[in-house]
Amino acid sequence: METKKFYELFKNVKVYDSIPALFLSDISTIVISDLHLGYEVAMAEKGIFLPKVQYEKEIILLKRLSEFKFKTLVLNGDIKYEFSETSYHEYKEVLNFFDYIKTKFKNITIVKGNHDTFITRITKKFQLEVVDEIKINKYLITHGHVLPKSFFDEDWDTMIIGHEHPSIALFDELGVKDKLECFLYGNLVDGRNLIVLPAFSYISTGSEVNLLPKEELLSPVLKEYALLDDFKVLAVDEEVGLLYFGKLRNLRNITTM
Amino acid sequence: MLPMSSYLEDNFIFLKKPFGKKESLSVLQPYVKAWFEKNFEDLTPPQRFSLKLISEGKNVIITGPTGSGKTLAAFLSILSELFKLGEKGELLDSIYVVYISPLKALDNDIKKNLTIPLTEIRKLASESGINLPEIRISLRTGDVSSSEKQNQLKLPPHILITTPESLAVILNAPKFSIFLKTVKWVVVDEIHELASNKRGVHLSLSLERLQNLVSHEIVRIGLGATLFPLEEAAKFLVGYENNAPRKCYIVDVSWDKKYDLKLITPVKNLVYSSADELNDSLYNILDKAISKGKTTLIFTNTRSGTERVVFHLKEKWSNKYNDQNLGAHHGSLSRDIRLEVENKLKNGQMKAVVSSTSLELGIDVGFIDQVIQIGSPKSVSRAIQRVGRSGHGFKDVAKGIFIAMDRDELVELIVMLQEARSRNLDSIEVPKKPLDILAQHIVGMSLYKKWKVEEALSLIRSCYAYRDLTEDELISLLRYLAGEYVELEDRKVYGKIWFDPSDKTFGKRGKYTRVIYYLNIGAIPDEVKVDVYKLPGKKFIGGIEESFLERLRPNDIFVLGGKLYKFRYARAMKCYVEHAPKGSTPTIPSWFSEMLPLSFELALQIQKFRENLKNMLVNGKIKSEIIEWLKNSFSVSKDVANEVYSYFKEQYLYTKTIPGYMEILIEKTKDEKASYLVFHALFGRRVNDALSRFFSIIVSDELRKNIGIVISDTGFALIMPRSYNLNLQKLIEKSKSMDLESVLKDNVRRTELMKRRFRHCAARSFLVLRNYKGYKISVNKQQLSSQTILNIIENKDPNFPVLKETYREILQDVMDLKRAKLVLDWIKEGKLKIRIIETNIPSPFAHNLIILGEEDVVLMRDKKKRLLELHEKIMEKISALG
Repeated sequence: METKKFYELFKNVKVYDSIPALFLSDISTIVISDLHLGYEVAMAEKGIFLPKVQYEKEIILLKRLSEFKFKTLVLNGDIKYEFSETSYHEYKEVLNFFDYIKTKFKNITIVKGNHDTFITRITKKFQLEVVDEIKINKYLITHGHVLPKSFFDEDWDTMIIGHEHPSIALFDELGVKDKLECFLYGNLVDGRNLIVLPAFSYISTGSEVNLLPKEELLSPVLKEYALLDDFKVLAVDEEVGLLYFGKLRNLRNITTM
Repeated sequence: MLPMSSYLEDNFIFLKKPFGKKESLSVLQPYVKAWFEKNFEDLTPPQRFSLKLISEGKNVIITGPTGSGKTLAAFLSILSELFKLGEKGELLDSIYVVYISPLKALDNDIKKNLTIPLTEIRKLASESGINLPEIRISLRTGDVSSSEKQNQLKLPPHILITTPESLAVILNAPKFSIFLKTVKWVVVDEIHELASNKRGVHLSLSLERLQNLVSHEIVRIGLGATLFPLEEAAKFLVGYENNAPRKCYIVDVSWDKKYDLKLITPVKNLVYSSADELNDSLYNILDKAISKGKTTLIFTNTRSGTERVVFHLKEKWSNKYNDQNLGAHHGSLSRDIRLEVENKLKNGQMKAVVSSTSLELGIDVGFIDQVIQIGSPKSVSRAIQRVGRSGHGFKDVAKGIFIAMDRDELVELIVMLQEARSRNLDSIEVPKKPLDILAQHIVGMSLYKKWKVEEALSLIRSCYAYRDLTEDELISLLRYLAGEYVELEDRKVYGKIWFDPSDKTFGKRGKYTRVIYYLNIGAIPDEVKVDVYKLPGKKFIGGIEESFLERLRPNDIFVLGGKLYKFRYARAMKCYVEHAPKGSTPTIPSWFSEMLPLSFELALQIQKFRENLKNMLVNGKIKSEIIEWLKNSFSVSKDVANEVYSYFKEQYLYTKTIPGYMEILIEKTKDEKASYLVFHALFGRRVNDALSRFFSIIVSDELRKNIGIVISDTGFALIMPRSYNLNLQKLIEKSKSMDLESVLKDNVRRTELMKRRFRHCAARSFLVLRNYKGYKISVNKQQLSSQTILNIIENKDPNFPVLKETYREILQDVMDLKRAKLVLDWIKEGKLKIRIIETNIPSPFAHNLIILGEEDVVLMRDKKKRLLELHEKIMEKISALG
């Protein structure tokens, strides 16, 4: 039994293998979100002394991304974890990170997330621009923690957000719970497209979208403007690859076997 | 001259013959002797041994029943010595005695009980013209205010009463610890409660650190109820020096007490009575028994059971029982409530108190007529300990009534009470080399000074639990605590100590380390509580454990605070529920983490009992003969004998056999829900915990399926796929060539148990702090599940010390790897027979097991395959829905 190697969510919008990234082939752009660099040290400051695993894992994934030879990389928010003033350790990790992606992509765009206060301090060094939202051709890319300014503009037809860290929870006949990160995609109330990215971060605690009622979700776009029940679920896992689950409505009814 | 010892192992001297009264009392100062003779007619048995031994500075363990004067046995000689120093003007303002008990309530009692003789002796001496200085006693527990601690610093007590946790704190108190340098005696009370768990190991390492602090040998005195083997307890108490245990005298007078043990069932027929009939009858029995005596102590095995009994008694007889004369006492209740109950007990105001375990310790409870035990206490020692709470003094007969609530319990209790009468106790074992406890002490030691590895190793090895600690093991722990698993520049955040491998030294690091140590020490695991809110409206209704939440599926029904709720969803460690529809039943047992294990020794005795009955049935003995045999050999009533007879007869008629001694019977069976492989393997749940996982792993690997497990004391069941194809005989053959330990080690991470225990070990090892920088940590609750942390650590280093300790704790403390291995060896050697039978519905002996419900799951090895199969099933179901 093998899984499919790629899925096309909408025309020119693809997902490959076990990579939590979105490939926009018409504009040669890759979108990732929620990298949460520096998470471990931020946790250690609070008394949870985790070994550092995230940075290395993300660099490996980025290397795989670079092999697709796309021109542009969009970091769609929450590149780093800490809310407050960037600590030294995190700073270094983020610096190394930008050093690395600079060598791999021709253009880099940074979309600000709710965790990205103080990020300009670093991006200035690399002469990178930070925006709240960006429109490229028909795409509107924004982190998703607030409703973007261009939301009601008519010059885009596909919106891409992160922030929610969507995942699905599944139970087998013995009651064992498995949690899988996933892409969510479907239509907004006005008929345009919306795609929610899974977190690029290895340590992610996200919303179990098939168990939670709509009002418990984080993103106002999802909560108020999406036809959520008809959204489709594409799970992505490091070991398993891609698993398509169909509409969220059905999955809500069949969480337990 | 010492009396002749009846048994001599080089360093442990078992005393059988007491010293004479005169000889004993002659060791006391005249005014102490006078006080004793004025207040007591005679020495109690433990006192006849202890006064002289302690006055000679010997280490001694004294075990005896409640009320046998153990406190004075330990303290009389010490008080006399202290007064003698005072008389000579040599008594310093410093600590001479440290008394440690596992309970604050007991600490309070001891202080009170020592204050009386201290005052009276001084008064008596002054009457004969001798002016003695005051001997001060102070409490030092978590409840002591900081102003009181300040006072103790200004004027330290001579006798310090404390708990294991507080002792570990004061060992590191920069100023107060100076007063510990004069300590001459250490008294450890309730040693049976401490010797076999991590809390005790924590204490024993503190004792060695205390010994290291002073320049003379400290005299160690251990007090406790009966326990076995006493050599193990002695090693635990006195530790090692120069590669041999320190010398210790052992005084066991626990059997001087007489016991009257009775066994009953609430109804004549346990199987054909409904739950309501069973409960009605139980409460009637309780009411009758309570009404007859003045004060009755009732033990249940769980906290929820305790609450239930109190609730129903008050409800049924509201005119008779109320908050003033009937109460519950268990660890989850607030301190004030417990204190109130204890006080009313002492004053004889309570008709009955219901308790889970908290009242089995030596808190002063006043006069108790009788003890009622609902269900099996699971060990002979615990049975004796609980019943021993009744009776005025040790000369009174202790009365205990045991109520069996099902037929397995009935059989268990018959054998248990017989063993109690024959004085066959189950054995204790001190956990070996728990790395999490050691991590705490290393941090504590490094706060005190800079250490050479060699020097630290020698101190640690003087503690029995760490006797065999290797230098490599210590160094790997030092590296972990020094934060070597992250890069150099991050270590100032991660490191609690520094470690220099070039000259093998270590010491403290970081400004928060002292605070971390104070706020996070201790061995009692802190369950992460998840708040539960009721929908709609999100009203807070209580808390559940994280591990419990992890098992909940949407629409599961569970009990909280006596009410039924339906689980909806969880978010950020908050759990949302709604009222369960009328008439629903719980889908998750609420007691799954509270079970006490049946001891292995007792389990084997029950096997023998089964064997005997099997032989009688096979040999065609008639009912009356068997009933007579039961009545005569086990002192049981006719009703009890009848019930046991029908249980065995039914099983025999149904399966043509009974699982006997040195035998495992495997029953292939099914019910409307699932197929099962029921292993009638009577070894106690710690051994079955290991065996069940061993066999389910083999089955899971063979079938490439997830396998559910049900575990009990009398056996275990594997929950199988509805239909499967398995050659059991071949599988058993295959199991013979497999190594239990490595199979379990490789696979324990595929179980739920791992997550739960890892959380505890991570907290104890200071990997995930409970308190940091002065405030309770809630961030770990909100952000990271145990599973996530576990994944990260495993990914980084499979030999991480916290992981290693989790495996050790699971294999050796939760499970009983050693004896499980023994059982498998018996199978290999052919000493233990395995037979396989097949039934259409579960046999009577399998019933109790199957209704317990699944407890854990062994996941199939291949995660990818597992998820792909699950995906396929879900998609099938979705397409079936259309």
